[in-house]
Amino acid sequence: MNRNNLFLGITVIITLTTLVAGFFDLSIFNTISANLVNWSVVIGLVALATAIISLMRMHVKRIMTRRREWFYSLYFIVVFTAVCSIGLIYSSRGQPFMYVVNNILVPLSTTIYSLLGLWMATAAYRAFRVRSIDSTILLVTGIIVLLGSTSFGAAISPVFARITIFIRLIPTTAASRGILISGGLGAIALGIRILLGVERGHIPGQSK
Amino acid sequence: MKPGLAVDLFVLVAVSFITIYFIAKSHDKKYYLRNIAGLEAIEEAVGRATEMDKIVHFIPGITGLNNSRSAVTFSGLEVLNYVSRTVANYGAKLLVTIRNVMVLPVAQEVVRNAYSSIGKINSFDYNSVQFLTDNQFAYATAVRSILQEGQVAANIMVGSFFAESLMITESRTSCRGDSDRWNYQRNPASFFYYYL
Amino acid sequence: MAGTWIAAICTLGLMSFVIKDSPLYRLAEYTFLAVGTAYSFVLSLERLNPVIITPIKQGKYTIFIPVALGLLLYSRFFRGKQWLMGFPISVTIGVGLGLSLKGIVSSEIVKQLSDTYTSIGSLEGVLIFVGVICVILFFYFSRSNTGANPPVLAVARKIGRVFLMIAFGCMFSNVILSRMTLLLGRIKFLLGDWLNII
Repeated sequence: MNRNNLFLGITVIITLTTLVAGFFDLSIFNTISANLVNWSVVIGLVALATAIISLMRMHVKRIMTRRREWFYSLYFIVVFTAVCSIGLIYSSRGQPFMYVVNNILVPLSTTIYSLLGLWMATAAYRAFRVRSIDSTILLVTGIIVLLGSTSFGAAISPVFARITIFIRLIPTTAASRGILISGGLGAIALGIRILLGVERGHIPGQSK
Repeated sequence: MKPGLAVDLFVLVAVSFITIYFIAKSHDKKYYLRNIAGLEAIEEAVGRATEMDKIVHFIPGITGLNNSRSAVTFSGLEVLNYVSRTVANYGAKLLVTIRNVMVLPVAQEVVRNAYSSIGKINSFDYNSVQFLTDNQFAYATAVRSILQEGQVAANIMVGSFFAESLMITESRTSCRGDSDRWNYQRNPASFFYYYL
Repeated sequence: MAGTWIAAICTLGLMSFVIKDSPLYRLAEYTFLAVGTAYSFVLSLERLNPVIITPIKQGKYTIFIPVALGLLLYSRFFRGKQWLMGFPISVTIGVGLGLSLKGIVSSEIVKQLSDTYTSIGSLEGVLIFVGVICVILFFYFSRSNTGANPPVLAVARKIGRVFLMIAFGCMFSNVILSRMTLLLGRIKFLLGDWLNII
């Protein structure tokens, strides 16, 4: 048996075991499946260092070759090392680490999340031009739903709220379900292709 | 059988058999596939990046391989295979940025196999597939920074994305490149598929 | 007090991007990267104890199997031994495929189809049913829109496209509203908690 078929065989056996455990109440399969899921978590944890090594190599290379704005890479390594040290010495629940998280990470995350509104507005400014019927429909629907969801729209007319409810109830539901069903069928087809060995790009040493 | 799952199992088996049937038939008969603008745009984007001597940037989604969204990540990795072969054929430069730890070695193997399949294994560099960070928006910020350096001519994103995808595609105006973004999931930003 | 100032400087640093890409923004960006990565790294290292070390102390030595598989991923750094990575990759992909196939069938196909079918009794249900069929046909790629194909397919695709555009417009508006709420929250923090203006 060559290596590629061995790896494919492992994938098939594990997939079928997990599927059988998902559909049938057989204690042996449930136990094996639970263990396999736990194993994949452990593999991910042990593999963490490969990702950190890759990241550090990239930044160290930028510093050594004095690439543009290399000092930011130095700053990254210093801050990363400092925060990791704080977390490992005082634990992630310790006050120093929580201080860093609450006063640096949380405000930064929330700010980025909130800036998405601005980015959406700029994207809409470019995208919402009446170039075709499609963009017109998108623009008109967006405006109606925006007005229908705010007190400003209610002050103009109660019709906006009623149309918004209709839009949310019918076209949005239908489109969402259609997209999910189509995507789900495609995902199953892709899974079958991987299990049959048609798609082998992820297996080491495999070339088509 | 677990209660209430008979229909699910039937659907899974039926769709699987239909898929297997058409895969078997496809060896004898060439099926018509209508033009998918996104696929054609990939080759065009890689060609443009080669002419400009700049990088093709690819993201195979931000979720991992051991959860219910792994199927979407697999689809991203399959397109990465295609993009890698196209990039290798054209002799362009590829940069793949990864958010999930387990996707990193798989993506590296996908790209390596793609280069190897067309006999250009010497052009492959493991550093072309990089892990940036595990944090969703920190990852998007890092990708924006890469795109704005001006060395990226094409940005291709195929896989599982959420709100951070909007951040990344909005940096397109700065890098003056092109951006193809596919995301079949029902999330708020998916409408940009039609306008990028 | 110092914490509020640090949070405010970080917030303003990231927001400064709206005006111009500046060193303050770059510092805030790299701080975000470094702290975010370190946070995930520390949490992952702390998970080593309950997931690996505790089972070993309890005598569950089978945990050495996934540990060994995870260590095989480092074979990437040894010339000629990269093929060993196939073992952990195959296990991870097998688990992922199994979980996703089961999850997708249940949540994305059967549930959606059954909800669509059971609601047909009303006018809204019929409209949703027609919409779902048209959207699915929109993603049917192996027939062209023209030529010797049923014109109903072209019509269904057009209707599907209209449904999709309306849905995307609605989703866009919903997201704009929620993000603007968050933006107002940050502005309130800056003007209230930091500058005590409001």
